[in-house]
Amino acid sequence: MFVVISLFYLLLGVITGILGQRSRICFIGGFRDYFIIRDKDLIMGVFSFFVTIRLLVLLFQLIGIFSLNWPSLIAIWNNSFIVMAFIGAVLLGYFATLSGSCPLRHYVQMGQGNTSSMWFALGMLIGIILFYWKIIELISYFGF
Amino acid sequence: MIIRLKNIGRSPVFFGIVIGCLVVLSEIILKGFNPPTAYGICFVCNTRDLIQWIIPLDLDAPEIARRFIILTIPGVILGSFISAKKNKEFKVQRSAKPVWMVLLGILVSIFGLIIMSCPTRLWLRLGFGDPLALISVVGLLLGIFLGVVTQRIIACL
Repeated sequence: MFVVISLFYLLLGVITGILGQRSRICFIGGFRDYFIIRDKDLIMGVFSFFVTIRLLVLLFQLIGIFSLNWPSLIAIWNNSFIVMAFIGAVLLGYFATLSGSCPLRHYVQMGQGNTSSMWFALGMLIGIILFYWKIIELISYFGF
Repeated sequence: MIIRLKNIGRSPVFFGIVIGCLVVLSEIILKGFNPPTAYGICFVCNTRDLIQWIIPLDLDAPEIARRFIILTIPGVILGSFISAKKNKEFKVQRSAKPVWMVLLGILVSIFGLIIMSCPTRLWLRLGFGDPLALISVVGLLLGIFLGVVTQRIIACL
Protein backbone atom coordinates (compact mmCIF):
# COMPACT_ATOMS: atom_id res chain seq x y z
CA MET A 1 0.00 0.00 0.00
CA PHE A 2 2.88 2.26 0.84
CA VAL A 3 4.47 1.62 -2.52
CA VAL A 4 1.20 2.13 -4.39
CA ILE A 5 0.50 5.54 -2.89
CA SER A 6 4.07 6.76 -3.33
CA LEU A 7 4.08 5.56 -6.93
CA PHE A 8 0.80 7.36 -7.51
CA TYR A 9 2.29 10.64 -6.34
CA LEU A 10 5.42 9.96 -8.37
CA LEU A 11 3.34 9.44 -11.48
CA LEU A 12 1.43 12.65 -10.83
CA GLY A 13 4.74 14.45 -10.53
CA VAL A 14 6.18 12.94 -13.69
CA ILE A 15 3.16 14.00 -15.75
CA THR A 16 3.34 17.49 -14.24
CA GLY A 17 7.02 17.63 -15.09
CA ILE A 18 6.64 16.51 -18.68
CA LEU A 19 3.71 18.80 -19.45
CA GLY A 20 5.21 21.64 -17.46
CA GLN A 21 8.44 21.49 -19.41
CA ARG A 22 6.70 21.40 -22.78
CA SER A 23 4.25 24.20 -22.13
CA ARG A 24 6.46 26.51 -20.05
CA ILE A 25 3.59 27.17 -17.68
CA CYS A 26 4.18 29.49 -14.78
CA PHE A 27 1.56 30.71 -12.36
CA ILE A 28 3.44 33.92 -11.62
CA GLY A 29 5.20 34.50 -14.93
CA GLY A 30 1.88 34.40 -16.74
CA PHE A 31 0.64 37.46 -14.89
CA ARG A 32 3.98 39.18 -15.29
CA ASP A 33 3.78 38.61 -19.04
CA TYR A 34 0.26 39.96 -19.10
CA PHE A 35 1.17 43.09 -17.18
CA ILE A 36 4.17 43.89 -19.39
CA ILE A 37 3.38 42.57 -22.87
CA ARG A 38 -0.33 41.70 -22.73
CA ASP A 39 0.47 38.15 -23.72
CA LYS A 40 -2.47 35.95 -22.85
CA ASP A 41 -0.89 32.57 -23.58
CA LEU A 42 0.33 31.56 -20.12
CA ILE A 43 -2.51 32.93 -18.01
CA MET A 44 -4.95 30.93 -20.10
CA GLY A 45 -3.25 27.88 -18.61
CA VAL A 46 -3.74 29.21 -15.09
CA PHE A 47 -7.39 29.98 -15.70
CA SER A 48 -8.04 26.64 -17.36
CA PHE A 49 -6.51 24.94 -14.30
CA PHE A 50 -8.85 26.90 -12.05
CA VAL A 51 -11.96 26.45 -14.18
CA THR A 52 -11.45 22.70 -14.59
CA ILE A 53 -11.07 22.21 -10.86
CA ARG A 54 -14.04 24.44 -10.04
CA LEU A 55 -16.34 22.65 -12.46
CA LEU A 56 -15.26 19.20 -11.30
CA VAL A 57 -15.64 20.11 -7.63
CA LEU A 58 -19.13 21.52 -8.23
CA LEU A 59 -20.06 18.39 -10.15
CA PHE A 60 -18.83 16.07 -7.45
CA GLN A 61 -20.51 18.12 -4.73
CA LEU A 62 -23.77 17.74 -6.64
CA ILE A 63 -23.33 13.98 -6.91
CA GLY A 64 -22.29 13.70 -3.30
CA ILE A 65 -18.71 12.49 -3.34
CA PHE A 66 -17.30 15.67 -1.84
CA SER A 67 -18.77 17.27 1.22
CA LEU A 68 -16.92 20.48 1.85
CA ASN A 69 -17.99 22.89 4.51
CA TRP A 70 -16.00 26.07 4.47
CA PRO A 71 -16.71 28.83 6.97
CA SER A 72 -18.28 31.75 5.18
CA LEU A 73 -16.34 34.95 4.68
CA ILE A 74 -18.48 36.98 7.07
CA ALA A 75 -17.88 34.56 9.92
CA ILE A 76 -14.12 34.89 9.72
CA TRP A 77 -14.06 38.60 9.04
CA ASN A 78 -13.03 39.44 12.57
CA ASN A 79 -10.28 36.87 12.59
CA SER A 80 -6.66 37.79 12.23
CA PHE A 81 -6.21 35.00 9.69
CA ILE A 82 -7.43 37.41 7.05
CA VAL A 83 -4.65 39.92 7.69
CA MET A 84 -1.99 37.22 7.55
CA ALA A 85 -3.53 35.70 4.44
CA PHE A 86 -3.52 39.03 2.63
CA ILE A 87 -0.11 40.30 3.68
CA GLY A 88 1.54 36.92 3.24
CA ALA A 89 0.13 36.60 -0.26
CA VAL A 90 1.26 40.09 -1.26
CA LEU A 91 4.79 39.36 -0.13
CA LEU A 92 4.72 35.90 -1.69
CA GLY A 93 3.79 37.40 -5.04
CA TYR A 94 6.39 40.13 -4.68
CA PHE A 95 9.34 37.87 -3.97
CA ALA A 96 8.28 35.20 -6.41
CA THR A 97 8.14 37.79 -9.19
CA LEU A 98 11.61 39.00 -8.24
CA SER A 99 12.92 35.47 -8.50
CA GLY A 100 11.45 35.02 -11.93
CA SER A 101 8.89 32.26 -11.68
CA CYS A 102 6.69 30.24 -9.38
CA PRO A 103 8.13 27.22 -7.51
CA LEU A 104 6.64 24.82 -10.09
CA ARG A 105 8.58 26.44 -12.89
CA HIS A 106 11.74 26.52 -10.77
CA TYR A 107 11.55 22.77 -10.23
CA VAL A 108 10.90 22.21 -13.92
CA GLN A 109 13.89 24.36 -14.80
CA MET A 110 15.94 22.34 -12.32
CA GLY A 111 15.20 19.33 -14.46
CA GLN A 112 16.32 21.27 -17.52
CA GLY A 113 19.69 21.99 -15.97
CA ASN A 114 19.29 25.59 -14.81
CA THR A 115 21.54 26.15 -11.82
CA SER A 116 19.77 29.27 -10.56
CA SER A 117 16.73 27.18 -9.73
CA MET A 118 18.86 24.73 -7.79
CA TRP A 119 20.01 27.55 -5.55
CA PHE A 120 16.38 28.61 -5.19
CA ALA A 121 15.43 25.08 -4.11
CA LEU A 122 18.25 25.11 -1.58
CA GLY A 123 16.87 28.37 -0.27
CA MET A 124 13.40 26.83 0.02
CA LEU A 125 14.84 24.00 2.12
CA ILE A 126 16.60 26.44 4.42
CA GLY A 127 13.52 28.62 4.66
CA ILE A 128 11.26 25.75 5.73
CA ILE A 129 13.61 24.69 8.50
CA LEU A 130 14.04 28.31 9.60
CA PHE A 131 10.29 28.84 9.68
CA TYR A 132 9.53 25.96 11.97
CA TRP A 133 12.51 26.64 14.15
CA LYS A 134 12.25 30.32 14.95
CA ILE A 135 9.63 32.22 13.05
CA ILE A 136 6.52 30.41 14.18
CA GLU A 137 6.98 31.70 17.71
CA LEU A 138 7.43 35.22 16.43
CA ILE A 139 4.22 35.06 14.44
CA SER A 140 2.20 33.74 17.36
CA TYR A 141 2.43 37.23 18.82
CA PHE A 142 0.16 38.37 15.98
CA GLY A 143 -2.45 35.72 16.69
CA PHE A 144 -1.52 33.30 13.91
CA MET B 1 -4.43 30.27 -32.19
CA ILE B 2 -4.41 27.01 -34.13
CA ILE B 3 -3.14 24.03 -32.16
CA ARG B 4 -2.08 20.97 -34.12
CA LEU B 5 -2.72 17.67 -32.47
CA LYS B 6 0.95 16.73 -32.48
CA ASN B 7 1.95 19.86 -30.62
CA ILE B 8 -0.81 19.86 -28.07
CA GLY B 9 1.73 19.32 -25.31
CA ARG B 10 2.96 22.83 -25.98
CA SER B 11 -0.29 24.41 -24.95
CA PRO B 12 -0.70 25.60 -21.34
CA VAL B 13 -4.45 25.04 -21.55
CA PHE B 14 -3.78 21.32 -22.03
CA PHE B 15 -1.64 21.36 -18.91
CA GLY B 16 -4.40 23.07 -16.98
CA ILE B 17 -7.09 20.62 -18.02
CA VAL B 18 -5.05 17.44 -17.54
CA ILE B 19 -3.46 18.37 -14.24
CA GLY B 20 -6.74 19.78 -12.93
CA CYS B 21 -8.47 16.46 -13.57
CA LEU B 22 -5.60 14.48 -12.05
CA VAL B 23 -5.51 16.57 -8.90
CA VAL B 24 -9.24 16.23 -8.24
CA LEU B 25 -8.93 12.51 -8.98
CA SER B 26 -6.15 12.18 -6.45
CA GLU B 27 -8.33 13.91 -3.88
CA ILE B 28 -11.07 11.32 -4.48
CA ILE B 29 -8.80 8.29 -4.47
CA LEU B 30 -7.05 9.23 -1.26
CA LYS B 31 -10.16 10.20 0.65
CA GLY B 32 -9.73 7.36 3.09
CA PHE B 33 -6.46 8.68 4.43
CA ASN B 34 -7.84 12.09 5.45
CA PRO B 35 -5.56 14.50 3.68
CA PRO B 36 -6.09 18.18 4.25
CA THR B 37 -8.57 19.69 1.82
CA ALA B 38 -7.06 20.57 -1.57
CA TYR B 39 -3.72 18.88 -0.94
CA GLY B 40 -3.21 17.37 -4.37
CA ILE B 41 -0.27 19.43 -5.55
CA CYS B 42 1.70 21.92 -3.53
CA PHE B 43 5.35 22.67 -3.89
CA VAL B 44 5.98 24.24 -0.53
CA CYS B 45 3.99 21.75 1.52
CA ASN B 46 5.41 18.73 -0.29
CA THR B 47 8.97 19.98 0.16
CA ARG B 48 8.22 20.23 3.85
CA ASP B 49 6.87 16.66 3.83
CA LEU B 50 10.02 15.39 2.15
CA ILE B 51 12.22 17.14 4.69
CA GLN B 52 10.12 15.59 7.47
CA TRP B 53 11.30 12.18 6.32
CA ILE B 54 14.95 13.19 6.27
CA ILE B 55 15.38 15.44 9.28
CA PRO B 56 13.80 14.38 12.57
CA LEU B 57 12.43 17.81 13.46
CA ASP B 58 8.78 18.27 14.28
CA LEU B 59 7.49 20.08 11.23
CA ASP B 60 3.71 20.28 11.02
CA ALA B 61 3.27 17.69 8.31
CA PRO B 62 -0.23 16.21 8.04
CA GLU B 63 -0.91 12.57 8.79
CA ILE B 64 -0.86 11.36 5.24
CA ALA B 65 2.65 12.73 4.85
CA ARG B 66 3.90 10.93 7.91
CA ARG B 67 2.62 7.57 6.68
CA PHE B 68 3.56 7.78 3.00
CA ILE B 69 6.39 9.54 1.25
CA ILE B 70 4.90 12.15 -1.06
CA LEU B 71 7.12 11.88 -4.11
CA THR B 72 5.62 14.61 -6.27
CA ILE B 73 8.69 16.80 -6.39
CA PRO B 74 11.27 14.21 -7.44
CA GLY B 75 8.68 13.21 -10.04
CA VAL B 76 8.50 16.75 -11.41
CA ILE B 77 12.27 16.95 -11.68
CA LEU B 78 12.44 13.51 -13.29
CA GLY B 79 9.66 14.21 -15.76
CA SER B 80 11.12 17.51 -16.83
CA PHE B 81 14.55 15.89 -17.22
CA ILE B 82 13.12 13.16 -19.44
CA SER B 83 11.22 15.65 -21.57
CA ALA B 84 14.19 17.99 -21.88
CA LYS B 85 16.53 15.18 -22.91
CA LYS B 86 14.04 13.94 -25.48
CA ASN B 87 13.59 17.36 -27.07
CA LYS B 88 17.28 18.24 -26.82
CA GLU B 89 16.61 21.21 -24.54
CA PHE B 90 18.81 20.10 -21.67
CA LYS B 91 21.61 22.56 -20.98
CA VAL B 92 23.52 23.14 -17.77
CA GLN B 93 23.68 26.90 -17.32
CA ARG B 94 25.74 28.47 -14.60
CA SER B 95 23.91 30.74 -12.26
CA ALA B 96 24.61 34.47 -12.35
CA LYS B 97 23.35 35.37 -8.90
CA PRO B 98 23.44 32.39 -6.51
CA VAL B 99 23.22 34.28 -3.23
CA TRP B 100 20.26 36.32 -4.42
CA MET B 101 18.41 33.15 -5.45
CA VAL B 102 19.04 31.49 -2.07
CA LEU B 103 17.70 34.57 -0.30
CA LEU B 104 14.62 34.68 -2.49
CA GLY B 105 14.06 30.97 -1.91
CA ILE B 106 14.10 31.53 1.85
CA LEU B 107 11.61 34.38 1.58
CA VAL B 108 9.25 32.62 -0.82
CA SER B 109 9.08 29.50 1.32
CA ILE B 110 8.52 31.48 4.53
CA PHE B 111 5.60 33.44 3.09
CA GLY B 112 4.31 30.33 1.39
CA LEU B 113 4.15 28.57 4.74
CA ILE B 114 2.40 31.55 6.33
CA ILE B 115 -0.50 31.24 3.92
CA MET B 116 -0.03 27.46 3.73
CA SER B 117 0.13 27.25 -0.02
CA CYS B 118 2.40 27.90 -2.94
CA PRO B 119 1.01 29.91 -5.90
CA THR B 120 -0.14 26.69 -7.55
CA ARG B 121 -2.06 25.44 -4.57
CA LEU B 122 -3.66 28.86 -4.12
CA TRP B 123 -5.61 28.44 -7.36
CA LEU B 124 -6.44 24.89 -6.31
CA ARG B 125 -7.85 26.09 -3.01
CA LEU B 126 -9.77 28.77 -4.84
CA GLY B 127 -11.23 26.05 -7.05
CA PHE B 128 -12.37 24.21 -3.94
CA GLY B 129 -14.11 27.31 -2.65
CA ASP B 130 -11.94 28.40 0.25
CA PRO B 131 -12.86 31.99 1.19
CA LEU B 132 -9.37 32.71 2.57
CA ALA B 133 -7.95 31.72 -0.80
CA LEU B 134 -10.02 34.44 -2.44
CA ILE B 135 -8.39 37.07 -0.25
CA SER B 136 -4.99 35.56 -0.85
CA VAL B 137 -5.41 35.57 -4.62
CA VAL B 138 -6.23 39.27 -4.59
CA GLY B 139 -3.11 39.82 -2.52
CA LEU B 140 -1.06 37.67 -4.87
CA LEU B 141 -2.08 39.71 -7.91
CA LEU B 142 -1.25 42.92 -6.06
CA GLY B 143 2.13 41.48 -5.10
CA ILE B 144 2.92 40.48 -8.66
CA PHE B 145 2.02 43.98 -9.84
CA LEU B 146 4.33 45.53 -7.23
CA GLY B 147 7.11 43.15 -8.23
CA VAL B 148 6.82 44.10 -11.87
CA VAL B 149 6.93 47.81 -10.96
CA THR B 150 10.04 47.19 -8.83
CA GLN B 151 11.79 45.38 -11.66
CA ARG B 152 11.05 48.22 -14.05
CA ILE B 153 12.34 50.80 -11.57
CA ILE B 154 15.53 48.82 -11.03
CA ALA B 155 16.04 48.51 -14.79
CA CYS B 156 15.77 52.28 -15.26
CA LEU B 157 18.36 53.17 -12.63
